[in-house]
Amino acid sequence: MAGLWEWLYRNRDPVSYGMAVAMILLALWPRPALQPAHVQPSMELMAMLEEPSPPKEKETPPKIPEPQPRPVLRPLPQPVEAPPAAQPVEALPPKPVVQEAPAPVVQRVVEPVRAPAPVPAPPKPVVQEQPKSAVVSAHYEQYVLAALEKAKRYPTSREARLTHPQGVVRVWLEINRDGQLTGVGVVDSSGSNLLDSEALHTVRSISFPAFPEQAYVGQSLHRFVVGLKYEINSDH
Amino acid sequence: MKIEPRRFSLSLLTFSLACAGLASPGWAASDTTDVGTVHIAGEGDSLGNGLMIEEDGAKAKSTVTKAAIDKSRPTANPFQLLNLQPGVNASSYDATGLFGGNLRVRGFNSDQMGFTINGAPVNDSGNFAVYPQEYTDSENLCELFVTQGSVDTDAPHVGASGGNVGLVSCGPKDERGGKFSQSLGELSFTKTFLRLDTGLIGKDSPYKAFVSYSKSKVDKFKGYGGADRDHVDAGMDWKLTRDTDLTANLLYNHAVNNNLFTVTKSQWLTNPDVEYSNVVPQHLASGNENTNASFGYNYTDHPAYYGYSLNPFENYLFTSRLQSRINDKLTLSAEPYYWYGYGTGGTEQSTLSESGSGSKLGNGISDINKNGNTTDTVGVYTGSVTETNRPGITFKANYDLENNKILAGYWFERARHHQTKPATTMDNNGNIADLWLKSNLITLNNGQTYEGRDYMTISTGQSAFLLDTITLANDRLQFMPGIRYTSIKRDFTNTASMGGGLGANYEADRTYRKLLPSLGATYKLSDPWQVYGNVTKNMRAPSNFVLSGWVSSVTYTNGVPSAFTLTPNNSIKEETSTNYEAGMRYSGQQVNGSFALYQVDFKNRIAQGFNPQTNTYTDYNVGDSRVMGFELQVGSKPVNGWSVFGSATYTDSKLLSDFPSLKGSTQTMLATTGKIFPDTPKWMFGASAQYSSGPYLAALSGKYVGKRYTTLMNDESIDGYTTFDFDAGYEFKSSRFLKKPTLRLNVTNLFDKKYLNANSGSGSNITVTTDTSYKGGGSPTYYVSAPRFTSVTFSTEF
Repeated sequence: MAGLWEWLYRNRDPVSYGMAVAMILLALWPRPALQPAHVQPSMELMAMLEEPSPPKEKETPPKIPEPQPRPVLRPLPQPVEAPPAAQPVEALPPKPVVQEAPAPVVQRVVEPVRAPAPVPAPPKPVVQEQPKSAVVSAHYEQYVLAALEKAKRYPTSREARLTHPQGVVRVWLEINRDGQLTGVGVVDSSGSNLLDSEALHTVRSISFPAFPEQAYVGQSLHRFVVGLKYEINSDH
Repeated sequence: MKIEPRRFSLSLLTFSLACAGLASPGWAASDTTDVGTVHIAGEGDSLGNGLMIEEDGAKAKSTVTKAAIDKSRPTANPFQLLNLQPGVNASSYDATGLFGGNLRVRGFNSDQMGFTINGAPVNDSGNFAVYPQEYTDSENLCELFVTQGSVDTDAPHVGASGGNVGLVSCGPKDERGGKFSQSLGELSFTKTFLRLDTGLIGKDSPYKAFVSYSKSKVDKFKGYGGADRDHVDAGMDWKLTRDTDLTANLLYNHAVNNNLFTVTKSQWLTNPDVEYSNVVPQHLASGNENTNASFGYNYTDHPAYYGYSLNPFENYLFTSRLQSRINDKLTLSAEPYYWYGYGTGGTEQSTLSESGSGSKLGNGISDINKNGNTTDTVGVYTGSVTETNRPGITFKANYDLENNKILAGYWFERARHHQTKPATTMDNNGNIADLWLKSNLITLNNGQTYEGRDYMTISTGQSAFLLDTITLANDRLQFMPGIRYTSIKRDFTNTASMGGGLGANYEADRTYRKLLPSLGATYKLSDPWQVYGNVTKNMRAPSNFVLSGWVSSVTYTNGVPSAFTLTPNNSIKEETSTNYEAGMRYSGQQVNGSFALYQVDFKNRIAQGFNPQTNTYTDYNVGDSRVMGFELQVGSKPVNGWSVFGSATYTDSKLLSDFPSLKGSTQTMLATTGKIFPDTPKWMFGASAQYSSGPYLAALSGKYVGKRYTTLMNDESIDGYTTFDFDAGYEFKSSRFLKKPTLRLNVTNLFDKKYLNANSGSGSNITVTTDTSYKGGGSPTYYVSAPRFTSVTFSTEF
């Protein structure tokens, strides 16, 4: 390896040109803002989560459409709609919540551009019958979902590239009020440990924000379950 | 929501919340609902036009995806598809890719690198040569990758001192249907492709399968003849249980090509179109046919007949994988494969002399032309035939702990490699009795088949490997220590034949083994940045040819060898390389890039040289060398329809030893120390820019390859060149019967650049010097660049 230094010195011109070109290309590349690629609590989101408790109805709507550069973080209108039906009856959101919740996510992935359209409509109905806590919690859940959307990736290991595993992993994750991930595990395996551990890895790579005060009131930590479906695009 | 730049899509399918206000966190109580699947919309999502993915391993690696493959001409071979990647110096003998080509990475030739298709090794089991035109149809190819510096620890290679290349074929599709594609182009180029998919069948243990057939033909761009290829791919996926999968793939290839004439530099300057002749050599009524006017030939004014310079080849490859997830930690797999290959090549036009002498093997060659005597020298068709039967299997166990993944495995194969050189006859109209050299073979007077060589090598390859991936520091740091114990045993049996050094029966065996450690690490810096590095040791066993040609001074009595001398070539050992690599990657939202800096210490390089211990000129460990350099690649995601890819390669290669040779009969050393590797340019650049809008797509790509030396003494070189290719496509609206009907235009060598490519088929067969007073001296030969070539392809799924 000693030869490397000597070599680097002798070839300092091409090497430094190469590195310079690399740096310039990467640095000057027109990328939208200099935000980190990974999921971290953004200002907008934090704002959204903090949801200053003031007057319930009118204040909420403006918050929702707020975030601009990252569609990811836009609060998702529909899930909020769902709870009202169920909420009054039981403390825990039963099926309806679940059924509705993911829909917008998918929509967004497919048609990111359309996202803004639905935004204005929902706010009102949302808040009407909704206990504040459920709204704030729902926002937090949307954050978790959005963060996963962002951190997701198909594994790139040699094994993964050679075998192209597919399947759905259902993962649980437990977050405390400070936003620390206190636990994560597999509920249902995809049938591939490679995908299962990639899913866990994805969850662990996310920095979650602290719970807003009104979310999950009375809970020191909260558990979420999420499904991650890995597939090969067979369109190709 | 950002869309991932891969063919793979991952959707957050369901998200459910189990509020656990009172009871214990009750995720089990929650329901989830499948709300559908997110598919990535193909082409537009590709990173760097499909020429890269987000890599994150400890090794420099480049990947070409389906999106890029789909834009290329359907006959493109893997070398062409990899050409824009950093580190890769690839050339194709023609524009279509049907004639094959050559590949070098970091100074290592393709026969010094490991090639796999779906994990099974496809290098020749004797000399590790690679024939890219035989492999998977590009329509069925999902991905190609190259690790520039070293082979993967679990890869089944014993002949790779350089990196490895993998081809991964697309499995069957979930939906029933198929694909049809028809290409037409200049030089009577056609390719017809048809694929049928069963779609998923069954519920509890669903399976799916596909089969495809293609026929391709093209004329040579100069001279006479062409390439003719029939190809079948088939695949099956069977999900036995949620945790157990069985997949199988079959590839069959049948090709007959006329060779392209290679030229020396001076020939090219005087007549760049020099080619094989179209004049059928004529048998003479009696006497000697070994004249230039007849079956004898020379490369300058009497080239051989094109119809007698053929490369017929047939091969199939079966690969399979049974993988089972035993529990949440352990996954076991078994991956059996079987390779069969049969073919001949080179210029088969030759002459043989009949004889009736008992002092020759088998009492000499019998009356070939059936004129009643054994005194003629007759024009014959003879070529080196290789038949390989190569079964093998890899077992793997993956053990996943939270921060520790262990991969342990064992690879075993037994390749039976039968190499012969029979001969057959031709008539005066150019008809060959059997161009495959299987029947109507010329015999000796004792009835046995004439052979110019006849030996069987059983190569038993084994490798045991262990790779640990340790994750530390909140997933930021990964360590990957690995070790691989690789061995190959060659059991060689020579049956007396008429070839030089092969005139008596003998057996020999050799075992080459090596413990090959590796250590890799990756570290995630602040978010889009990652650094990585690795040190990996590789080895390449000598080819089986080193066990041939040991016989001298044979005396035959009544056609049987009665006395001879055997001179074993004992001194040759495996070549090894140690690859040091450090790099940096950037994975931004719009752009990805990577930079790799490396050094390869290459020891005991095997090449033809003068071995003073045996006093022979054979494959021999000629010395050490060193390669250093860097590779850069950058790719963007589409912005307003535009996306780009670029690569830069700087290679500083150096021989560190003088070369043992002979000047006349005097042993001498040629001063190669400090010389540059042959066919290894200092600079290479690859770039591709693509615009796609709605149904339209257009892509322009260019490649610059710098000046290359073609002798070890660096006393001959060929100029650098830049070529451009243009690809365009239009996707029609899908109808009820036709899905994604697409019209594609492919133009290769857009500006009709004329240049030469080195004909250094093997890492060991490099011309030493142009000074012919030295053994191994001579004029290197070259493949002439293919002119501009245009083809159109209509394809549709249904």
